[in-house]
Amino acid sequence: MATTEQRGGRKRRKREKIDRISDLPDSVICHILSFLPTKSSVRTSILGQRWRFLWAYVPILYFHREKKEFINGVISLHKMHTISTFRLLLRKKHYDKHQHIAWVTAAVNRNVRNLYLVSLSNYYMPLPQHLFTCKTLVELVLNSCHVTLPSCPVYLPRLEKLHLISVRFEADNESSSLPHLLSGCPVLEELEIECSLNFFTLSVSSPTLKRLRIALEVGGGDDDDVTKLLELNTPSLTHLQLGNCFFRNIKSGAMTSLIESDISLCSYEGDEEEIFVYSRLRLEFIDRLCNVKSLELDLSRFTGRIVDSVLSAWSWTMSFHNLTKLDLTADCRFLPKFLESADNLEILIFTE
Amino acid sequence: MAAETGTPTTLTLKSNDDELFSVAESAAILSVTIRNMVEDGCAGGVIPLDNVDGKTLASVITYMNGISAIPADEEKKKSYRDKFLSDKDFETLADMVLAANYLNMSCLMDAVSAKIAQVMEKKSVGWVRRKFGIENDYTPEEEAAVKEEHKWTFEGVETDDDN
Repeated sequence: MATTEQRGGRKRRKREKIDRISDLPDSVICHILSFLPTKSSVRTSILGQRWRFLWAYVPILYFHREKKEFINGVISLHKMHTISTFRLLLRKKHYDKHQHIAWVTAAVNRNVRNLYLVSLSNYYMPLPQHLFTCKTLVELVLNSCHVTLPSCPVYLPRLEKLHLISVRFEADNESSSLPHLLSGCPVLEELEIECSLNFFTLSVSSPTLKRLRIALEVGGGDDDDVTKLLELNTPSLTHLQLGNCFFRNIKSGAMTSLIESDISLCSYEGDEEEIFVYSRLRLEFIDRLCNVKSLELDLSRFTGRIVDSVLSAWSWTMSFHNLTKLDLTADCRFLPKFLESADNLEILIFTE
Repeated sequence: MAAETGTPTTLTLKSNDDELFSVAESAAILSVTIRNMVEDGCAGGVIPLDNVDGKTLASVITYMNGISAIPADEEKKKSYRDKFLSDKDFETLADMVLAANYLNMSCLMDAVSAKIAQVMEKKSVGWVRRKFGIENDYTPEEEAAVKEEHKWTFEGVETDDDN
């Protein structure tokens, strides 16, 4: 509780130390401005002489659906040789491809570290090819972008985090584009792929990858829409999340470092032989998760025939020795199988 | 450092208005400035903090104790920071950002900076000037020139609300 005297004291001090924010060091003011969208940060130039050019030294640019005149103005007046973060959300009905390539180029030329590009739902933003040889990039988030990889090798030596949301690759070589991209990311630790990739084969190969999340929103019914094969070659993986995966075939190398998995497997209809093959592959994949500590597994989409086929092939040698937490959604006949295989289980959540 | 003795080491911090504060070393070393002093063996007696007044230092120490009591859980730490800053007026926030900068405490610095930015965002130029006590030292001509230079910036929502 402030007494009247204290309040008076504070008021006096306020008068003495008027305009304390302008007295802050440039670096502190720029740090404060870095938490504002660029539009608000530029507006502070009108506050007073001290503020006129400070915004131009903020190493973060955050464009939220501004007009192109604004973005071009900012890029031309901005003084920093290095941009730590460049975040661009495109304005509606703005389809100027050359302009978009120029903005991303400006970010790349200023040694951008974190790049977030969000396009429009009905427009895939094109990207300059030299984005994929940017030596400074640490984090790359692409939403609704059209990726054309350079014919030369991709080289993103510092890229740790890659999120691809509704990204289109060059139509001719969709299946080989992702391996091409990942092959140039020697320190990649986190990969997220969300919806709309219509690969025939989705192949994720990375010796350093720790976290992988794949959530595809392709329809399960139409065969042509289905990504046929998921291939994982990710020996360092600790976290794996697969949502709505309508892959006909999943192949995976060893994942001995796995700690946490959240996997939802879909069913498949076919003739007897196809069902047999399909269920063996699913079982093989579940076996690959053997070292996991926490597993959330949704098998509720398995139809009766698949359940029967998987259960009849369940191997007695399958063991989840490290598993302490299991959240299983499946036919109840799966429950005893898992309980037999997981001798250190502490927490069980079961939904039929 | 006396970690082996089993009793937590306490440091004495002195504000620029000569108030003394006791604080556990484990909490105080959230400040890189203080941690460097401890590591260099300069923290034996009283640590003078010439750029921080008593009122602000008391508040910073409350934060140090509060945040260091939370185990490694970023969500909980964030909600503690939000709560800690929720009732602070601008005057206090300005003191805190200076103190956090001087003490080199990045988590507090980020939280306070974000809070100040949040106060500034979408407010009119006049409101920000009044609130922060910023003197408009532009001549009308200069101000018009700056506005013209950034004319695409001064469109849009501006409010004079205090919240």
